[in-house]
Amino acid sequence: MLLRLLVARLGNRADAEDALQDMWIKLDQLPTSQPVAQPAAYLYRMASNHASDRRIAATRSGARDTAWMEVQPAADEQPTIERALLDRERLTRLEGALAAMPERMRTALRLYRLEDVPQKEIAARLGMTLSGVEKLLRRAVKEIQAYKIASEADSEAPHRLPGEGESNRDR
Amino acid sequence: MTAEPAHIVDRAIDWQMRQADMDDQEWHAFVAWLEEDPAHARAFDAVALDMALLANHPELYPADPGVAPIEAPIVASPRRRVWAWAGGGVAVAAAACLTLVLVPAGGGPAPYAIETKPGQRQDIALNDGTRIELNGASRLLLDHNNPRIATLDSGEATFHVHHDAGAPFTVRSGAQVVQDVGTVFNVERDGKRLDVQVAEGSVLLQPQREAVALRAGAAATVHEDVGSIVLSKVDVAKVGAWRSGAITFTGEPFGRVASAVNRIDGVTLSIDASLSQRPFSGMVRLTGTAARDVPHLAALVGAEWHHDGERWSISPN
Repeated sequence: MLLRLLVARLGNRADAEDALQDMWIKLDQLPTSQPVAQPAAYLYRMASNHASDRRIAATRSGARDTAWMEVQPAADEQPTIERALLDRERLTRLEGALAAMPERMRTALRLYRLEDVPQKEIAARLGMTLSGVEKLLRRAVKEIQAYKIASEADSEAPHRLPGEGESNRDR
Repeated sequence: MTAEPAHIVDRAIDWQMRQADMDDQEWHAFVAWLEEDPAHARAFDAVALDMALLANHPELYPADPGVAPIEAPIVASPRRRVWAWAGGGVAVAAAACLTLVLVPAGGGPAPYAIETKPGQRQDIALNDGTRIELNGASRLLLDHNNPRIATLDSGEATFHVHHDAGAPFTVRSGAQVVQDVGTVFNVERDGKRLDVQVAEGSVLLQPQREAVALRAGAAATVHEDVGSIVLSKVDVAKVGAWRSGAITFTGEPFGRVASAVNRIDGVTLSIDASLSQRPFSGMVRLTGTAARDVPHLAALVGAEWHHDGERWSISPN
């Protein structure tokens, strides 16, 4: 089932098996003293996060030229410079979507994603009900999706990255 | 590519929002849904990637004008979650999901600031064994509830990090992030410019973005205004040399010495525009006393110095 989840997320079996392998290695290194409440759900969550991280890593390695980095001294010994550039387009779009959001929505989203504040506490801080926060966050995520679609409609340029061929990247 | 139909996007958002507390059954239902239609998988992928990035890129959020009173006073980037990235590539993320789930939520960010006056210096010992030497005219934010994070607002500091692979030490400054991999390193903020120099071990600069690995003897200069990183080498013995008053220049604008004089001698030094851009190489040793240092600096570039009570200045003959 874990593998199925990974296949569904990553779009192909080879990547999924690879990812699963990684996960076992990591699990092995876990301090054993950590009790896990719901082992199955925990593994799924782990796999799901892992899949997202791999997807991000994939967009990194497919990075294009950007003006961002000029590595000056290509001198013999800078072997450690792994210049993986993250999908800057996605970041730029996210930035735009966040800027276009009502402030309250953005604050809620920031507390939720960036600062890991539980939804209950967000509700207390913003003087809202829990279900109000839930709705607000959902709307925030929805706006981000809508914003991206709108901004893509503006530019005709293909957004597919090289090296991203058969994976299930959208748009 | 066209966008997925709205109802699919809605559903994808639904699944994303519920991931934190789905049980076994629900996970099965989720996988089945993903498999049902490639459009489902695509829609979910889009949502999940955005959410992952939102959790890792504090700089994406615009600074809200007139910071809302509900927020903690210093909210620049307190993060409880530290993601370990193993030197770029794909090995990257596994550790991340672990810390994500395991780090106990105990206690929110409790930031506090340590600030030095010009000419003053402070040694900070954190209870994890990390030691930080803070130069003068500098401001550093630490967190009572998270000893593994520091934010350099201004000035300069040398970090002797007690390494813990499970909880990397992270230094933020502006939009830049430096993460240790077992290390002694120096971080210097000067306006839009950030310098990172590594004496021992190595660090990752911008671990979530470019993940530039800097080993001992490597230095990086970030110019945030033009968005560039320039890498160079540094003599490891000279990293953090400000601690003994030594300032090294390698073809850099002479004007940079003014910041060093401010931090170490505690005075304001203005350098004439015609001199401040002149490239300068060599090492200058500051004594902590402007009356000795400023004349010496002026002599080095063949210029004159003035002192009017408070201010010092260097200008051409």
